Amino acid sequence: MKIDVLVVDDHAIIRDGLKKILADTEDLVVAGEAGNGNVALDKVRERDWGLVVLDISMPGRNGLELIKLIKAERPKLPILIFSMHHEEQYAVRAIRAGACGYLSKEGDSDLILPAMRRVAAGSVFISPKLAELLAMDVSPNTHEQPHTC
Amino acid sequence: MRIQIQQSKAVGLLAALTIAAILVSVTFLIWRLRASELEHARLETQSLTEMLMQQTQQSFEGADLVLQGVQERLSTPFGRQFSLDSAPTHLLLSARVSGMRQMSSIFLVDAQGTVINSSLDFPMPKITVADRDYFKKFAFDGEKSYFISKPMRNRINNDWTLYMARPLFEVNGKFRGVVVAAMSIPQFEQMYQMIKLDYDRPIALYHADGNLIASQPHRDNSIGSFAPELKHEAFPTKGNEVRTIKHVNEEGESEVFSLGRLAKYPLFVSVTDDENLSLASWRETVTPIGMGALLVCIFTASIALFLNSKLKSKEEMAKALRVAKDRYQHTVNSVMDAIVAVDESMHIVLFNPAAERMFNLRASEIVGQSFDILIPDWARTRHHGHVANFIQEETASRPMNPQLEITGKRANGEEFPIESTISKSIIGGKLQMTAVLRDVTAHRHAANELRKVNQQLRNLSTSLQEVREQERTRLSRELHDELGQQLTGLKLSLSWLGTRLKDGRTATPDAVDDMRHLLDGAIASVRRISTELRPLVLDDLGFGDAIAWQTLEFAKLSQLDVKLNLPAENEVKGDALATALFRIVQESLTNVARHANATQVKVDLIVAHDILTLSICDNGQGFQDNAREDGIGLVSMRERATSVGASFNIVNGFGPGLGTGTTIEVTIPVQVLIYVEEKA
Repeated sequence: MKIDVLVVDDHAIIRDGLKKILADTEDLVVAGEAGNGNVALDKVRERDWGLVVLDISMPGRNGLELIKLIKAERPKLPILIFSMHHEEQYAVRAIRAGACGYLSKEGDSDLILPAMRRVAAGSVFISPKLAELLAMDVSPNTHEQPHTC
Repeated sequence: MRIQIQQSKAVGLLAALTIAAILVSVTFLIWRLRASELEHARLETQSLTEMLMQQTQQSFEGADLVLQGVQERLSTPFGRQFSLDSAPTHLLLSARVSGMRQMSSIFLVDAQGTVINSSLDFPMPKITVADRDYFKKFAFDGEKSYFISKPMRNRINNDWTLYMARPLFEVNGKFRGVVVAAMSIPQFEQMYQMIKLDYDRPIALYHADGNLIASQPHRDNSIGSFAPELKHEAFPTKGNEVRTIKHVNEEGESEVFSLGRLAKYPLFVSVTDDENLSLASWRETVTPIGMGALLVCIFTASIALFLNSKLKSKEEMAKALRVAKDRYQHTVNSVMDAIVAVDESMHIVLFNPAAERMFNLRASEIVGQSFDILIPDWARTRHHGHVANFIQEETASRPMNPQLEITGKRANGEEFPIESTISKSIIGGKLQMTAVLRDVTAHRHAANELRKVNQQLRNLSTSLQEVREQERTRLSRELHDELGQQLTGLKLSLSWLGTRLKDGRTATPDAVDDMRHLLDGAIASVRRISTELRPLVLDDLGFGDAIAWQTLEFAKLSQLDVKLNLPAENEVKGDALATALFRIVQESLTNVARHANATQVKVDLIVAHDILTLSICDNGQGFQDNAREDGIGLVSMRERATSVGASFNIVNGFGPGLGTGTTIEVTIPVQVLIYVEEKA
């Protein structure tokens, strides 16, 4: 049984790219796509998903806000952030907000499938760089929601 | 001024007049005294002459009486009994001569001319006198009366002697002899000498023919010869007549000469009065008068000189004071700053023309009034405080604190800011405060203008900063969103292709075409973004086409009806001008889209009367006045226009007579265009 993936990105190019890659896999399939946050939330409420791949910079609600809203609806739904932004800029905040993995669009494109599989499996996908950043993040602000991944 | 000069002159004049009056009167007095002295001397001389004439006459009469007595005696029958040389005759002679001082002797001469008897000696030694004139006169000339001889020296003691003679006759009338009285000339002279006068006046006795007989002082050489002083005189012809003449003698001295003829004898008496001597007493009288007058004159002159110099120095001081005052007045009047001086009680004592102009008040109206008139009511208390503080201070002069605004009030009630410097001084023991005032209305106005311009520049700078930041944000977003995503998409496609090839699967040519499309999109994005950074279209197409492209783009985006009319597009040469106008069009269109609420836009570029005009009109709601000054876009447009020598205007109205709307108008003289082009 394939994992249903919801791709949320305002750029059709990206959505098409991901669809094309996932079409070649046995275990993953793009079962839905959304161009903005509101559509994404509707889709999340509609049915169960195996994984949400989420961009941060979008018109309307931004990605970080969307993480919290999705988590509020479906706390166990794993979320992988796939963004143009560097890890340094958003990754720690995204993880704190409830994302289970962060992959920069700038990084190795071949990592996208392992990352999706890992996050969908309930693990955390972080790059060594992000691991370092999280280790250094010793801020007392720890009233984050418990991770489900 | 005039009065002062006249004072010193008047003193001089008065002194001169006084001195002249004194001198004239004294001279007159002296002259009168002299004249009267001379008259007195003349009368004295004349009466002296008359007196001497009488006395001389008496002397001769006495002698003649003796002679007549002897003649009579010897002519009586009794007398004829005695011979002339007898002793009784001698006694007769002696008796007759005694007591007659003027006669030294009396003697008888016989018909042969021999002295036969004398009052002196008896018997008389026989001396012949036949050669003497007094004998000859009777013996040969037949004179019957008497004869007075010439003066001659007698033959006894050789004294000067004058002989007076009478003839003696026999009964039959025959010449018998002569009785002669010898009259001593020294005796006469002695008699004349006895007349004591204040000073000596020469006296002389002359014979009728002008020969000198006797004189006092004695002139031995002249006796018997013609007297020189009679040279020019007309002799008095009648007896008792006295003629008084004034003449100048050989020594050049003035003399009064009085000549009188004896009544009975051919004799003259003269008295000479030297004026010099007669004026001696006059001199004695006159000298102290003259000296006194002189002293008075000197005294008067000294006093006058003293007063004059005093007055002159006073006048000079007054003049110097006047000059100083004029200079002061001129300075005060000519300075451009207003000068107002007040006394202790704040009453105005000085108000110069600049102050008159500043406050619109005449000095004549304001002097004497309170300074408060020049200050608005609300500022008075504070100003009084300043002044009171200043009076207490040690410093003599200071500028009013520039932080504290001093406000003046003109005659029409208008208030205006003043910058003032105040000083105090003691004049005539009283405090005076002088303020130099400067109307800083224009200055303030300029400062405000400057502040406003500065604020605009700051706004411009800030807005440029903001615009740049917005621009960057936009560009960044476009780079990120468009180009970044396109490239990411391409990357994903490549990753997919790579995975397929690694797995040994095939890929359709469609996939490659898709990737090429992605790449084309990326290239198009690059081009678009770079155009926004810099309208390359302007460089590539030229001004007209660039504007056309820009307006087309604008029309597409804004859905507005844009009309373009650029007959003068070829006039726009040079990059700076083209860029400026292009950006102004861009900015104007952006403004129209944002604020105007318009449906139509018209862009015109025309040349008329050597002036290039670019106008962008819209039919929107018109321009708000308050936006005019502060609008950031407007400021930057204005700056761009100014930078190429153009002027920038905003007018309301879509076009002539079309009501609402806004027209932005940029005009440049063609000459400036040429210049900008050459410079470029």
